[in-house]
Amino acid sequence: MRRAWLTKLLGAISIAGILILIALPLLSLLLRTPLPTLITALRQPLVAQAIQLSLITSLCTTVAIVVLGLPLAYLLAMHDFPGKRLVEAIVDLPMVLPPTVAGVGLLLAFGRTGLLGSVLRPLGIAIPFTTFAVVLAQTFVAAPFFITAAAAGLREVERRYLDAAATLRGTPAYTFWRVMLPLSARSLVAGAAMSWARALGEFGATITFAGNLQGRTQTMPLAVYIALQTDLDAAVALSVILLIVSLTILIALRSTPFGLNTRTRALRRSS
Amino acid sequence: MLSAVLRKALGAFQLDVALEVDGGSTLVLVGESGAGKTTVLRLLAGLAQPDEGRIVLDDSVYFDSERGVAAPAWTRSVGYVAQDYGLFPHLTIVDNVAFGLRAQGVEARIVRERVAAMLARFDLIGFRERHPHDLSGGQQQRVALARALVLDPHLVLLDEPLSALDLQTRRILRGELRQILAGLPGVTVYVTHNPMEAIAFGDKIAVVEAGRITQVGTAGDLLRHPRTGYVAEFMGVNLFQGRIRERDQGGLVRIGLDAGEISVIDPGGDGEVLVAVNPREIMLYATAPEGSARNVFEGIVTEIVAEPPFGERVRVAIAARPPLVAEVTQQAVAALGLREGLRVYAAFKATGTVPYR
Repeated sequence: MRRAWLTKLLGAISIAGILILIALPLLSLLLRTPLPTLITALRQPLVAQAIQLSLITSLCTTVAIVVLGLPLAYLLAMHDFPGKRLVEAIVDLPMVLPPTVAGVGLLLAFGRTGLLGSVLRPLGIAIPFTTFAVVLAQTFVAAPFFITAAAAGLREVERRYLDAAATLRGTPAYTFWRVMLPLSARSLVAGAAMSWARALGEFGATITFAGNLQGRTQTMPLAVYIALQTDLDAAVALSVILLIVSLTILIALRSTPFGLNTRTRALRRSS
Repeated sequence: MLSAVLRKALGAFQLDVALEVDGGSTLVLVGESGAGKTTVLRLLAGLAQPDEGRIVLDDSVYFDSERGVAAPAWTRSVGYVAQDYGLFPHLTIVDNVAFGLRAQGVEARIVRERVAAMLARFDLIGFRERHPHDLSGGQQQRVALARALVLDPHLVLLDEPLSALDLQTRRILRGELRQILAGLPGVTVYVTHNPMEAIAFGDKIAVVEAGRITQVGTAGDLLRHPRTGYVAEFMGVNLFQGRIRERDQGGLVRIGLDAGEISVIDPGGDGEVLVAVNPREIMLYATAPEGSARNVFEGIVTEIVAEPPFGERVRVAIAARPPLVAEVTQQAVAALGLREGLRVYAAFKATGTVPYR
């Protein structure tokens, strides 16, 4: 009896502790600066350029991840092959790798003396410290979120629908577009959104591989870091935007039609 | 005309069957669950490939292990209706039915015409824009059929098409389905475990037991001359297997069974014989009967089942030597006070038996 009481108390303290730890910084960000000051801060070139660059690069990254990642997700979902475990581990790796390590790796691959960089250099192509490098860095760290979610979603499409499509003259390609994609749309959209959010927040790999050049490689997280030393209001303004975007994505994934598969959505509509 | 030899190992299970079905006719596959019926359909459809064998439909070779032919499912002229229908949940009824034609790249105008004709034929016009989950089981079943048949397949494969439906819908659809199948020019293979459906749909019935076909024939063949205990039970007749032991006067022989002995019309020859006895030939008595019946057995009633449920005839299983199933009227049940556990006498005449080899 005493123990049950103690357990409840400890549980309550833990829950309060973790919620305060997560919520307090977020609340502090939102309450720190009054709205007019925030809007003024957004007009500064440093902030405006960072927002523009972040939007462009993160969207390019998301498109690249979906286009390049979907075939791999299909392969992982539908086929067994030797070394599949290894491929899956490599795909997941960037999720646990420190982003700065990813940046160093990218530098060693695409840098002037890097494996591929040294081949590209005589052709007049230099990747590091360009906007393209930002996209590469974001793709590297954000791709696993989409590929994992997409593979899981494609794997969940029930066998009976694929069988039905096959006996209705559906080639694997036709079946992929007309049956697999619509039935796994929820996972694909969710995965893409997670990748986009991760790309938007990318810091370590970007600053290591692409540098911190205002207007070219200085994305919002980098601008936050720089502004923190000179202009706290600007840093807070950028942080608030990033916070709102992240929160919106997570809430959207849980509540809007994207958060449901076609069947439950249709069921809801009919009821 | 379908001709198939299918061999496939699935773990410890070994499928080994050969089928010949004429164009315009229906072969019904019956057997217990796990006997391999659905596997046969999947192999014919191309959803799985045999380890070895041949599948030839009219002039098309779909599979030939010796020549290395294995046509993928989407190239075969097959209409496959799975037990759970597999209707696409994200597509409307009209898009479900149009799926196969669109997959083949058929012109939009022709797709529209053929789908509309099919929806009309299956009484589905009012459901065009609905989704499958808005439909009842019977309607879903008709959509699945329409979706498969709109492609004019040469081979139609139906896996327990009525089993997911309630009794009333099943009865209505059984009639509809029989008309539809009778009008098909190609080959139909129909899987069921329901004897009524097998008799209603099968020009021929093939019995699958543990991955093998143990008997093929018309319903009449199976009823008169069942070759295995399962076939006899499926058709609802008594089957005895034994050896001729002794010849009596009057053209009768006594046959020794594993349990007991029966007296039947002399089939001639010696050795192993099968004897089928229609359950209606078996009479039940409360006391030992006197009279001409050669075969009288005493035993305990183990089961009483009305067939069909609430029908006027009743099947009575009796634990005698040999075990028997009799079919009697409800009046007889009442008159004898039949109940499970009651000791009764069961009798049938030697002339009521059908011995064969």
